[in-house]
Amino acid sequence: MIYGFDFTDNICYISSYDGDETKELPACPCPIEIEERMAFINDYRKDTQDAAVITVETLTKELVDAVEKEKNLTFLSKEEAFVEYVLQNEKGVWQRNTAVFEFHKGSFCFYAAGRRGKTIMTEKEDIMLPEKGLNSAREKDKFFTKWVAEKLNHRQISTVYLIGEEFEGEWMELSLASVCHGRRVFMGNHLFSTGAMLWKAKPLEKKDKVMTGDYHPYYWGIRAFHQGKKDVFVPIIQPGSLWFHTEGRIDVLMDECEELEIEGMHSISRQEMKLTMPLGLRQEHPTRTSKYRITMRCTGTKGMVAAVYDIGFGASRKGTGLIYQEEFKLP
Amino acid sequence: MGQIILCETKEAERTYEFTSFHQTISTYEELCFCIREHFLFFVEEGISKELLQWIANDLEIRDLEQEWAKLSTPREKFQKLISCRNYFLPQEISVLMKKYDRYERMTDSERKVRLGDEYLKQKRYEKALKQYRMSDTREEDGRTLYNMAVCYAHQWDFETAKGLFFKSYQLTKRKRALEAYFSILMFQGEFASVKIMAGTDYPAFMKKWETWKQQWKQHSLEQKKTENNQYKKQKLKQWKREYRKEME
Repeated sequence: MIYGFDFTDNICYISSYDGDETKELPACPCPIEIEERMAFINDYRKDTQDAAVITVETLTKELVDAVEKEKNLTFLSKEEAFVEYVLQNEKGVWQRNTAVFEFHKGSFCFYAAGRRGKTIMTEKEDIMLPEKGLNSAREKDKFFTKWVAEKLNHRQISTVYLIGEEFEGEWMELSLASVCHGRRVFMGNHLFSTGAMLWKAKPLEKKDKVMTGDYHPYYWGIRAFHQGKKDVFVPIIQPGSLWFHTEGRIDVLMDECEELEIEGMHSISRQEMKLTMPLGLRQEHPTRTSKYRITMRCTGTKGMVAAVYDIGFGASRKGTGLIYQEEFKLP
Repeated sequence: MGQIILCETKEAERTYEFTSFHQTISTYEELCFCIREHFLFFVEEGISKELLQWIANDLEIRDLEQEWAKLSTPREKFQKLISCRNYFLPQEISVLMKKYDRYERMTDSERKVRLGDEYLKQKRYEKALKQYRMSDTREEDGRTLYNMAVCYAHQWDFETAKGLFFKSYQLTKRKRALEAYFSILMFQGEFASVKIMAGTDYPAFMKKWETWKQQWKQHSLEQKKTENNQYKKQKLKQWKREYRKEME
């Protein structure tokens, strides 16, 4: 048996697959603490062969490391579960983009996914609810209409999913017309849990790369002499890994160097970035006998650290260690 | 800003030592640096089997070993070695290969002299003398005689050095050789001989002599200081060892 779990506040949506058919189990109340949630999941996994995929808002290193040794337990970001659901259910959907509005008691979230070349890009935005709250059906309708207009107008979105218990009831009047305008709209609460379950149960042979916010999207590198050519782009970091697994390093020979330029390029949009590191290196040793290690790693989905170390010259000279480090934000 | 060069190979855990010039290396970049600095040794001695195996196994440059057998001449092998990974720029490789060709065209005698010069640069006087002595043209070459005299002088054989400096002066008429000859006479206390032989150049020579004396003094002081520092460091290490033993 394979289960997909989507914990939302104190409600859990569960989908299951027994090898023949998929089922959406009724929503049930669930604990908040992670340890209690794990016990809750284990109540369902009666057999050691039973697998569980749990959706989370964002993947962290701790989460991934925690289940690394557990064979049948996996964490998946909601964005990936959403893409999986759409890929397995709506084959025609990828002609244009797909969106999700997730509306719970204390949260409102927008997801979108679309194809760019051979990559499926997703985006996610947590939208703040008004401080005063949404006290009437009319206020709710107005609020939702505003965000439908903001997020869906001027974009080619063909399918919209409305997820969450807050969409229940008869409050959608203006917003319903707005959201349904030229689009297919589906309502339900098990999109993420079913997507997670399908990810494990029926893995697709993906030719396309799914790039959620948890994956680092940039190439990072420097221009250096390589294979007989000057100023060749030498990558330090390649895109496509989870941000907490994204790190890279290269060793270079540098003599006098006032500033080192690290170039970045978004793998999809091709947007370019430049990071200039003022090293101020002077010629202290014979020419071409100074080796430096340039390292880069992600500190978050939007943060990076680049550092330069003096690593000496092999057995001839020991290095002095870190000479420059800079933390920077990604757009 | 100078050229940034990507280092492609890893650092070897086991080092390699060149006995010809006493250099220990652990990277391909160091190997290339040695080739640049001690070019003649590589051309003269060729690339040894041990070095090739170290490059293949420890630096993990396996393609070089595979292609080695296909290369017929030492020249091709040398070129392959310096260009198989990043270090030398294309124009530097071309300069090195021209240097290689020039060396190949030299007579055996000329090669011995060049090798002797290399040893002299490294202050390995006995080895340098051995090479110079093997050169057939040494008796007619004032420059070689001068270098041989320098080697003898560093080995405290002032009599032979004196004779060679003078012979070198007779062949080349270079002031430097004569001044070196006078300096040895000064060391030996033959001040009057220097005064007579130098003639009108005597005051100028004495001025230089005083400067050299100052420089030697300075040099020996610095050497003592370095030795003293090394002694202090060794002592400190010894104290640390003793302290750790006591703590255990």
